[in-house]
Formats: sequence, C-alpha cells, structure tokens
Amino acid sequence: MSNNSEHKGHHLVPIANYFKVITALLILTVITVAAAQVHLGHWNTPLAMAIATVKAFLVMAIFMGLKYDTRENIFTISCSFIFLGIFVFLTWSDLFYRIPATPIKPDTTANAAAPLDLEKALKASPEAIAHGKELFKTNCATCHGEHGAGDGPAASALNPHPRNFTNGEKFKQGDKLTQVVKTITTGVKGSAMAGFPGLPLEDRFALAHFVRSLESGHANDTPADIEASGFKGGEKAKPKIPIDAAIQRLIEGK
Amino acid sequence: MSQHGHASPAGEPAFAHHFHSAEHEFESSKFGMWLFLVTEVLMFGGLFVGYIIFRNLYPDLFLEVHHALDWKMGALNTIVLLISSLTMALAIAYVQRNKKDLAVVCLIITLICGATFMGVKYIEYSHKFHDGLLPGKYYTSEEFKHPKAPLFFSVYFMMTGLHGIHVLMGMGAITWVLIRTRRGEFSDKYFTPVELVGLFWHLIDLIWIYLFPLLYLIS
Repeated sequence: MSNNSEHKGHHLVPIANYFKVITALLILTVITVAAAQVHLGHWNTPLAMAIATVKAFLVMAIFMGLKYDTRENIFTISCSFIFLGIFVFLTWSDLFYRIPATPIKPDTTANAAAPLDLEKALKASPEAIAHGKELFKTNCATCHGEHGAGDGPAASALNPHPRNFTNGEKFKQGDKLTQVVKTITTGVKGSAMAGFPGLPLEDRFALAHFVRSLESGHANDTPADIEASGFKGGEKAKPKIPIDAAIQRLIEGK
Repeated sequence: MSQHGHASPAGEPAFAHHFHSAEHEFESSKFGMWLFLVTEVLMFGGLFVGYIIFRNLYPDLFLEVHHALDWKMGALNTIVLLISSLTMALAIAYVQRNKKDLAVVCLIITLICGATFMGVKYIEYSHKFHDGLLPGKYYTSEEFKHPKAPLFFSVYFMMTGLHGIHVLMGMGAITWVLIRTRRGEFSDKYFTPVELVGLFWHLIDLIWIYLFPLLYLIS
C-alpha cells in the first residue's frame, strides 16, 4: 500500500499560508476601492480588472488549491478562461472595429453650399426621387433596407426597429415633406435614427421625396406649413460635417 | 489487490468498485467538480459579455446610474465573502488534519458569512424595489433621467441575482457538509464532499471579486 500512504493529491497547505492570502486579498480590496476614487480616465476599469484578476489568481491557486492540483484540473479550468477570453475579445472587437457598411461621405465641394432652389426642391420630380433612391442606398439602407422595408442588415439589433416605409407605419415626426426633411436632418430622439445634417439640403429633400414615394397617402405641405418649416429659397446651405471629417480637413490643411 | 469491493481493509477508506483506489475516486470526483465549474464560468461569462456590450454602448448610463448602488454595501459584502472563503479553506485544512471541532467552527463561520452576504443583499434589493429601480418595464423611478436606466437594473439584477442564488445553493451545500463533519464522517482519509463544496464556494467568491468593481465602482 505504498501508493496510498504517499497521498499525492492531498497536499497539506500550511495554515499560515491561508492567512497570508486573506491578508493580501483584503489589502487588494482596499486598493480597488481607493483606486476607484482616483480619476484615471479610461484606466480605472482596466486597473480594477487587473486587481480583480490578481485576487482571482490568489483564490484559485491557494484557496482552491490549484497550485497543488493535477495538471488535468489546471488545464480544464484554464480552458474555460481561454474560451471566455475568445468570447470577450471577438465580441469586443466586433463592437469597436466593425466598419459601417457605407460610411457617410459629407459633401464638402463648393456645390454643397449652392443656394437652395426651394421650388425645385419641393417638387417630387422623377429625377429627385431617383436621386433620393441612390442616396437612400448609401446612407439609409443599412438599417431601413434597400427597399425601405425596415429590414436592413443592422435592423435586427435596433430597438425601436427602423421604420418600414412600405406598410403604413406612421412617421413619428410627421409625414409631410418638410417634416420628413427635418427628421432626416435632426434624427429621432430615443431611437437609432441619426440626423444627417452633413448631407446637402437638396439631397435631404430628394431623400424625403424617395421615402414618401414608397407609399401613397402621405399628407402634403400647405403653404403655411412651408412657411412654418423655415426652409427658404435662395438660402445658402451651411454644410455641417461630422467631427472626424472636420479633423481630417484640419490635418490636410484645406 | 484482487478485491474491487466496497469494503476495504481496516484504516483505508471505502471506495466504489469502479475505481482503483480511494485516491482515484477522490481525483475523479474533483475533476468532475472542475468540469462543473467550467460551465459555471461560461454561464457567468455570457452575462459578463452582455455587460461589456451594454457598458460600451451606453458608457454614460453606467456612470450615471451606478450611483444607485452603495459601494460601501458592496465592499462590506466583498470582505464578508473573502473571509468566508478563508474559513472554508481552513475547514478543509482542519478536516485534513483530523481536527473535527475546528473544522465545524470554520464551517459555521462560513455559513454566517454567507447569511450576512444575503442579508446585505436583501437590504440592497428592498431599497431598489421600494424606489422602483427595477429592470425593464418595472422601472418606475424618476431618479435617473437616462432613457436606458432600466437596462442597468436588468444587468444588475441578472448578475447579482444569479450570483445570489449561487450563494444560497452554496450555503445549502455547506450545511450538508457541516452536518456530516459533525457526525465525524470525514477525516484525512476521506473528505471529498468538503473539498468539492469548498471549490464551489470559492468560485462564488471569485465571481463576486469581478462583480463588485464592475457594478459598484464605476468612475
């Protein structure tokens, strides 16, 4: 019975070691709380996680006895952390590095600042609708779907879901032309619908024409509505561009 | 070594017939426990990944709404759980040294710590229930203006709730080994249940070590 008397697996950890570990754990807890009071910007959370991981290692190595355990057990539990790491890393990288399908390109040419021809912009001409359709594909289809049915690739992740323009759903902020242009400009609060002030005003009108053309029965602007909307002919559009595009221009010195 | 029976020579612990030795049985049981802990890590892992996603989508939400949680309560519970882990480890150490009475005392302290943890959680939860700081549609508080405030409480209750259930299950398991230890069923020759319950209890501690800074200490 020499095998049994060795008791390989039953390593006796000196009791003093347990007290050393609890002392270290309590000190690390105090450090965690103290570090949270110091403002470190983005480093607060990684620091807290690093300290937590040191604590986790102490608990696993000594309290759970992994330090003296078999290689199989160490390997087994390590696997769970490796797979958790893959899970976290892939999710995280997807969250941060997914390139938008069609990045919005602000029109920074001189044309963008051309005066608005209001009469032309208000008219739902086939040209305007066709132009709007093109713009819709690059700027809106990711969420609203290529045919405006609210079924773009990103739609399933959004709550509230992107508007389906083809099944009689109501426009939250009104379905008159000027109201739709305003929605395209400023977005819808409490939803993923962003504003597109970077698009030239004429393009926003074209988009509104296209969206309204997907369904009949939308209300039309009365002259008073147009007056109230504040859109004026001859108005020079002030192109607003996204911050990163502005930074790019600064860097390029244009 | 022909007999693979349940009975064993005097002084040697009994072991089931499909094992080579008591040592073999112990190692197999422990391996099984570690496999179970792997599934536990992955189950909580899903919640942690959800947390990462929401925290990155709504960083301002977590910054604003975590003030609903009292970090002092969280810190107290962290200390209580850490101490309970110590006493659990000590209980196993004393069983291995055949010091039954000390082991029983340690297990009782572990249980008291677990109960204290749940008591503090009860106080925290009842405050949240009273203030309407609840998940999803049950959120009725006016305290936080962030439109996604209910989401934070979904994350909070899901993570601490699942953890709390584990604490309760752990306390049940500790009660079971406490009774068996008192009866003198364990010794340096056989202490598998104490060891395995200990592993489970330490994992609960491990998860809380991460939950505490992630939920209570956001800056």
